[in-house]
Amino acid sequence: MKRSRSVATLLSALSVLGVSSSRSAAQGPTTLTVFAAASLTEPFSRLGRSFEAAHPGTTVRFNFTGSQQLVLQIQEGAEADVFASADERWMQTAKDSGLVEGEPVLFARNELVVIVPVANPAGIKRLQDLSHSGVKLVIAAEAVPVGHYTREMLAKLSSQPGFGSKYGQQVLANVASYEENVKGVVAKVQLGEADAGVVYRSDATGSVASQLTTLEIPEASNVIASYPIAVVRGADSPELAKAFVELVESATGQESLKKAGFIPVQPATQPSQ
Amino acid sequence: MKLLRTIAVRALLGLAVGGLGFLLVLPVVSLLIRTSPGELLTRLGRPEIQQALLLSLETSLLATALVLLLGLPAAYLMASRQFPGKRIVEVLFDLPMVIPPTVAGLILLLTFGRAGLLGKSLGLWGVSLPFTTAAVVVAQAFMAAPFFLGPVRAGFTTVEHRYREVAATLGAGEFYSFVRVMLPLSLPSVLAGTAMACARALGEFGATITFAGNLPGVTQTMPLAVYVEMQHDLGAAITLSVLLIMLSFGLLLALRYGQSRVP
Amino acid sequence: MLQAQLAIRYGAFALDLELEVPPGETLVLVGESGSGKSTVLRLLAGLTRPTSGRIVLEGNAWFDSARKINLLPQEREIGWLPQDYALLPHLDVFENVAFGLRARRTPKQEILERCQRALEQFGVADLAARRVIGLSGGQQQRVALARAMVLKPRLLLLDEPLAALDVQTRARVRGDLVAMLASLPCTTIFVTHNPLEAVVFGQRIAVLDGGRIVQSGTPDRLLRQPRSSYVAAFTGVNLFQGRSSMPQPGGLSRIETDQGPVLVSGTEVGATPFVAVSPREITLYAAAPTAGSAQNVFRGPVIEMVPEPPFGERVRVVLGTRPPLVAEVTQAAVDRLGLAVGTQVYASFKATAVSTYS
Repeated sequence: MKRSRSVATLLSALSVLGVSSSRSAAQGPTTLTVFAAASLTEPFSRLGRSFEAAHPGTTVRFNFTGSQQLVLQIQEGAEADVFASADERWMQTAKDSGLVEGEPVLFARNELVVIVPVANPAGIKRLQDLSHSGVKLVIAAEAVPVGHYTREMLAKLSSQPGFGSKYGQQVLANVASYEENVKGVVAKVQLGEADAGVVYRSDATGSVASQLTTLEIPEASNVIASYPIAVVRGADSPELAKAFVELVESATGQESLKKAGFIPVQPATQPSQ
Repeated sequence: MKLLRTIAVRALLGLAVGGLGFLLVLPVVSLLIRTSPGELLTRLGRPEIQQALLLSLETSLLATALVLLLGLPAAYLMASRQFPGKRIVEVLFDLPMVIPPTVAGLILLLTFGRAGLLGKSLGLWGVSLPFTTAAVVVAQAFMAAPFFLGPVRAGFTTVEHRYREVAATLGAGEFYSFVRVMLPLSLPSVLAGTAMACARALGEFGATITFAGNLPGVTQTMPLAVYVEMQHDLGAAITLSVLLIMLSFGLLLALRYGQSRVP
Repeated sequence: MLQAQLAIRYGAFALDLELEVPPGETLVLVGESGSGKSTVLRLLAGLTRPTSGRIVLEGNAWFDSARKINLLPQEREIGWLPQDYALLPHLDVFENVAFGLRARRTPKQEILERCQRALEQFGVADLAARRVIGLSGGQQQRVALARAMVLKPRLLLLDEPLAALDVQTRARVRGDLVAMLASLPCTTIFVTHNPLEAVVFGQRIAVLDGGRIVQSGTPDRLLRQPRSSYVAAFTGVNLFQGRSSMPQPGGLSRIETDQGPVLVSGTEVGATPFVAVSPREITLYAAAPTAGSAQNVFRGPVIEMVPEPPFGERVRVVLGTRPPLVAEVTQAAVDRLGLAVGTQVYASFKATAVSTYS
């Protein structure tokens, strides 16, 4: 009597292992996994909820972090249905690695801004102040799209009158930390640890706006970020994935992005090659 | 029936040990086979790798020294005194071991950051911790401290009262007694605590990146460098990982050797 | 002169006593385990703090609860020998002996000289380089003594120093220890549960029971006039508490004890005297002896017979008489009377053999 009970327990324990490994072979609610750049956190979370409402029985799961990390994860076999990058560079890498299905679509644009804490401890009033020694600047690492854009922007500013050719160098010398995604930069400035940071305009809107002050970058020197989105090859639910992409491109999606501070594109725009 | 039971027990034990070995040893093996000694040596010549290596060694040694300096008296007081709220203090000292490292980093920021509890006063003295190498040492020391306090406190409590009492009757003050009686008699525990703390400091990541930041040569220790390099130079990441494993392995090996030599 | 008034309570245990030991003398504290004797030593050493009291040695106050004085052990000049000697295991014999001197930053040369002398004095000079583990009990004791005495303490405290030794070693070491202690100039307090040791080592004995001193005095006094059944048991005397007395003809008194009546000589015996009879004063008879009027005769069964060490020539016979008596007779007498457990005998002792005291 006792022995058969313990055997039964053992068997059921083993079977749980077997069952859970095949859970991704969906039964009941379907899950859509979206890998998106960190800057897309707010608008995509909202769109995710709309999508779930429009497709009852579906759960949308997000992974928000630096685009460079997302590509690495997908390369190493992470399960994703949709990939939205903050630059075309990483989308190209994904495409070259054979990770995307079909052609990526451009769905939004973004601009850079400089942010300082509301208390402005370093007294930064103009962009030139960023090159003063002792300023604690936090930007993203080169591999992160916004980090790459930041360097581009600094190089552009260095060729402008009123900045001097050494400007970019001096600013970079002030970097106290290279963050791995744009939200890390926001956090450091928000906490008052950094004197200034460079992020997307969309990151300076919403709930954090009250804790930050934004400095504009002249249009001639600003960098326009292009955001492509694509369905991942081997996605569990390709139709759902396509539907999500369509939602992002639709008027609803574009409206959401606009509200979040992004620059919307016209629907059905092809990315520049 | 008995034979069947013995076989079943042996099989289960073998399965368990095998499973554990699988889990612990295989990842290390898979790391080592991805690179060759020649590759390792070449990469070691690269400045970023050397920077990270030197920074890691420097900060973890300083962090261990800090933990020793503050931890020895703390462990002694906890082992020898009773005071109200002692249990709570003990739990607080163990806390860094159980909270997620990034949470620890946040706590450190809220305390020592510019706008933090102590940070403001430190700022008046011209001291600012975040983004400095000192911050790395603090983050490492914070996370490593419980790994020192646990074994050392236990070691001190097992040194029998009678030896301390006899030392007192012979005229030894508390400090003399601590150095000449307590420490020698609890040396294995102190060694173990030190090695564990050092290993933990070496491997510290979450609190470091949150509190100290990520800047090569200043705050980018080996674990951080692995994280960063992984994204565009897997080979460099592997080199650093192998180095880290070798250092930790060497440390723990030295500890075992040291312990077997203490009478 | 050591003067101490000590009081402490923890949990259900309460200790309250007074001690006075003339300089250079040895006081033995005797008592069962739990009587508080080890506690007294700890209080004197400063390892435990009394709730109230005073400890004054040669005019220096070591503890005074009223004046809030409490010297730490390292500030008192004591030599402390715990039951298991507590030699420091990580040091060799020489370093153990030198420990206290080093702690006081004594110059190196002086340490060498004094330790050498101490080791020789206690006969352990040849063990100087030996590790402490592996030394015999007797050797450990000498090293511990050397370690304590090299510091020239004013008060030496020994907690059951022979208890840790096996029975054979104990007898031999006892003799050596008596000689060693006799040669030491300091005031000594020696704790034991063994009454024989008390008599051998002490110039004065204090008997502890339940945290109080029930009787103190010279060994002789205690043997002759025990004042509690506890001490009587130690000394092996038959002791009774008299409740009332009535004069009898012939210059005798009849004392009622709670165990039965006893005839004693003398009429001035006081109201509630102690009544003591040595076992040797009791004679056993198979048949009722022709009693003189000045004799106590009791009848009862033999409960137990215990041969006395070392050779069993004398036998202690425990009787179930009323009052209960323990008699000490020769083995020959036992044989002659054919005594066995359960045999009915008559026990008799003279009224003049009884000592009464208050």
